[in-house]
Amino acid sequence: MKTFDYFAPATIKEAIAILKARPNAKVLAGGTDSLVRMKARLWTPDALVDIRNLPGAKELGFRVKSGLTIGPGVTMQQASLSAVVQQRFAALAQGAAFVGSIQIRNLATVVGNVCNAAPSADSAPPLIALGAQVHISGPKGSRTLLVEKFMVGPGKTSLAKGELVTGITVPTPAARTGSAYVRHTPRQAMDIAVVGVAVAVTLSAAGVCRDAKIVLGAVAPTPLRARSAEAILNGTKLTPEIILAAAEVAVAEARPISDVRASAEFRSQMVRVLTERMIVAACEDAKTPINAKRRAA
Amino acid sequence: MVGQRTPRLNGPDIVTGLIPYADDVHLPGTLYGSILRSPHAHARIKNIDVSKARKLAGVIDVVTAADIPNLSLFAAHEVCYEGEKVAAVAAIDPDIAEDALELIRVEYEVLPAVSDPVVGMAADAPESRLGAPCEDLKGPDGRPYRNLTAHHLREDGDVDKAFAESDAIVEFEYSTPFWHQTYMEPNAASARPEADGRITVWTSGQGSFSLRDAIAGALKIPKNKVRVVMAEMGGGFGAKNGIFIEAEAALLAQRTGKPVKITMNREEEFRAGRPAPGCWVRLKTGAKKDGTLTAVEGTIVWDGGISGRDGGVNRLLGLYKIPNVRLEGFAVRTNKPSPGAFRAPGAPQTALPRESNIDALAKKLGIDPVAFRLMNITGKGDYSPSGAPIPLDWLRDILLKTADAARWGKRRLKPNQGMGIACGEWTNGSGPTNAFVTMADDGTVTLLTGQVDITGVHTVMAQIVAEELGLPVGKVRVRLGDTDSVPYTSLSAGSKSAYSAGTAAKHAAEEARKRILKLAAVHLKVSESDLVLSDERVLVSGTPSKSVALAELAKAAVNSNEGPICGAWILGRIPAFPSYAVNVAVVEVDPGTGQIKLIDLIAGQDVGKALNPMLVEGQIEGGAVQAVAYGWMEGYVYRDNGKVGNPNLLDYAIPTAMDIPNITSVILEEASPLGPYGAKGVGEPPIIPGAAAIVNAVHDAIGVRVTNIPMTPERIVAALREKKEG
Repeated sequence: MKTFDYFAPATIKEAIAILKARPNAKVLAGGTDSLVRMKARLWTPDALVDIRNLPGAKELGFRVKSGLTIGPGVTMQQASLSAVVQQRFAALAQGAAFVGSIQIRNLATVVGNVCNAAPSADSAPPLIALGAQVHISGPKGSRTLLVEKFMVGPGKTSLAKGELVTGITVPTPAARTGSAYVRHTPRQAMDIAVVGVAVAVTLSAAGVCRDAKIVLGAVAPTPLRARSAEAILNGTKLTPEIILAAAEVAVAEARPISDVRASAEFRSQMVRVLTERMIVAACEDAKTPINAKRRAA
Repeated sequence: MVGQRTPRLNGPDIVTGLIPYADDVHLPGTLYGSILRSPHAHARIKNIDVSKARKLAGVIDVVTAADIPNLSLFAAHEVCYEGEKVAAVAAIDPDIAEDALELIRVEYEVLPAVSDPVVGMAADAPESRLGAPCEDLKGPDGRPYRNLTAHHLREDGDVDKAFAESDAIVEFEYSTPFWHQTYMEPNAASARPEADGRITVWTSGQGSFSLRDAIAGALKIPKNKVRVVMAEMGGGFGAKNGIFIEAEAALLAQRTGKPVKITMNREEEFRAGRPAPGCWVRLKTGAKKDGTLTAVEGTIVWDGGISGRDGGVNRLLGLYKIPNVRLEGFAVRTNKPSPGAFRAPGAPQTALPRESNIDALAKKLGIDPVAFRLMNITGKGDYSPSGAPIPLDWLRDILLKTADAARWGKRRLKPNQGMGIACGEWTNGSGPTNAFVTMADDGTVTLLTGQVDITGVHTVMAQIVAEELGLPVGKVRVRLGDTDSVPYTSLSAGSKSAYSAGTAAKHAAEEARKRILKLAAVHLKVSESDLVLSDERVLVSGTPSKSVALAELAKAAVNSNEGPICGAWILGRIPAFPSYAVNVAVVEVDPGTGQIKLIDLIAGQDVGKALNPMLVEGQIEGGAVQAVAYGWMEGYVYRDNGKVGNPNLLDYAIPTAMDIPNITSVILEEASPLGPYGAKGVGEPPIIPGAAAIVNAVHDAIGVRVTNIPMTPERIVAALREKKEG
């Protein structure tokens, strides 16, 4: 690894000033992606700006009015074990729990996962399905963007030079909303998604689907909304036939590639199987009263 | 002491990180070496320009084949696998060494690569090494084979007639990939030039002397100019029987006059390691209605890597009595690293087709797979494939014991769940090795040996010495000698270290015991035959009040005419007997995603005598996990251009603790006529049957036989779809 300077600014203002002064600097959160790249000399920053000391960096907060707030230092472990995330943002808790191992989840952050912008990022499809936004600060001020718009390509985000993500917020889901995420991997842990599928559905009291979001991971350059599949679900009673039809349409919307991990054809098959399963799981979650949802062990 | 579950003596130091590994050797003033490796599977080297690298501040040496015309450490004109060494640098800092590698300009002309051995042996295949020798043999089409390094034909009886008279025949094609040992510790070595012109190399490997000989051979210097000192080894499994970067470290040390350290990274390990070879097999097996095996016929093509390593044909027969045989074998030189051992070399690859065919045949005949095996296995009075006599029905007994432990035929399985069984056979090696027992004047013992400890052999040796001398294990210190301090010792490989070094330790301890008894008889004024050793004392049997402490005798011995108490034993070779492993896998398959859940794994082994059941279980569990993983998820993926597609532990999947259930180890103790206390070698057999067992279990679960391993979810889904489409 090349040598570098390490900064741990205490304020966002200070962080922005360092990023301006050191154009080759990289922002460091958990380091579980950055350090691997640095050791392989794929990245050779001359400085790292650690954002975990920013005020509120490690806070994971929830208010019904403002939703879930995720500081830039909030780890996957925090997110996956949080009772409120499990009860109201189930897909996110499930996605965070898939990442790496316990040791990695204790370091890796949700914000870092989104900024790393891997098509297979396990927290991204859940965040997109739940309508999450990223908060960005930079030399020209602050802005807010949907996670869906933030990731623009493999490893690419819409962050401009000198900007950094200061947090993520997820709006409180409407009543009778449920969500679920699953990924396909050859082994159970220490792996990255061959395909990931997050689904969020909001049901009416009569069980009609008012709103559905289907987000596919690892089958396009960025996590992909399967909007035509969503449209099939909206306004229906979510019968097995309709769910299967939506899953088939999601396959058509996916744009998978073949690589060493799986062929495009297999990824398409997994989109169908997992979309079907996640629509069912999200409905189950929607039908379960919040206080009846047990914390995962 | 022998037969006790003694925890590994250096276990606490290993798990707390106190024990020094090869990369923990920090010599004052050391330089850091790094290797430039070929990015191509096959290419002609047109030019190498090291001028910029040489000029980089902090670079002390840059060496290519052109600088050492009499040695062949680096590719000169042609690279034949991705990762082959092209140049080395030594710098004052590891990062500068990496910078220097980036400054070396190599001009390649890329050549076609041979990746698939079956394609590679065809007459129109490209040469994997230009102008390399090839077996003079023509294929069925009358055209000469290419890249062929070995050919075998074994014929017994009349196969055609036997198949014609068979009631059931199965035939499948199998493939197994290159398979990496994925030891935790990447290779590291430090070499230091000594004032007397010799070179000392600190490294980790499975045998100091083998590595010494290889280093001296590579550098073309006399063996006595090299001293090898072994650090603790972080896993070898057969890969570390040879050198990786030791000779380059020594060369750079020679050239610079300074200590040089080279540490490999994980990608180098995958691209330029010494993985197990893969193979392609077509196998046809026949049987009578009553369950009698009649004939086996088939072809095996070994993917021999750039050395064209051969695996023969005999293991396809293995442990069954089959009167009619026609097996043809080929070894093909491919553009992959030269393969090596991974525990029982060649056995898991051949157990898969053999045991899968047996399973399919049993099912076709409607006979239980365990019963079918019992009808056809070799046993007492027969011979193993390597020609060793079989004195007891070890296989029958471990097969029955394992099936019983697995509740074979008695489990209630849910839909998509299945059970599979498979067997494996192996015969361990032996010596040369040694043991030197010295009793200090406080009655404690030092055991010196040249046998490298790879899986607790030092603990077992200490148990044996403690047993023979009536000491607690904690009073025995084991020290590993280096190549300057002990006689030639062979590799800790071939399941032979406890078998051979355990025997040497026993005899050395017996020698020391003779001295002790002699001294004690004089001291206690009784006959030697009346004495027993126990609890650090020598006692007169029947008169427990009459005794003397070992420490007292040891102290007296120092000033006696014969001097301190010690015993030495040099062991050459001793014969060995076959040993058997049986695995039962219980799986559940998700037909939607093709994912396998391993519900249960029962691993049985016939060990003769478990010198330390805890260590034996460790061997069994480790081997069984490696084996089922080969069937399930592990293996190299080579791209069409011959490059490794998964040279890292993310894409090269090995199971984690999350994937593996509790393993039930089943140990059969029926003493072997030789070996310490009746023990047999235990290191290799556990890796043989697992891949076949899980393939058979998946077939039992979902009715498809996946014959190309690993059984990735994609292959399972494809097989299910094929079955559905009929």
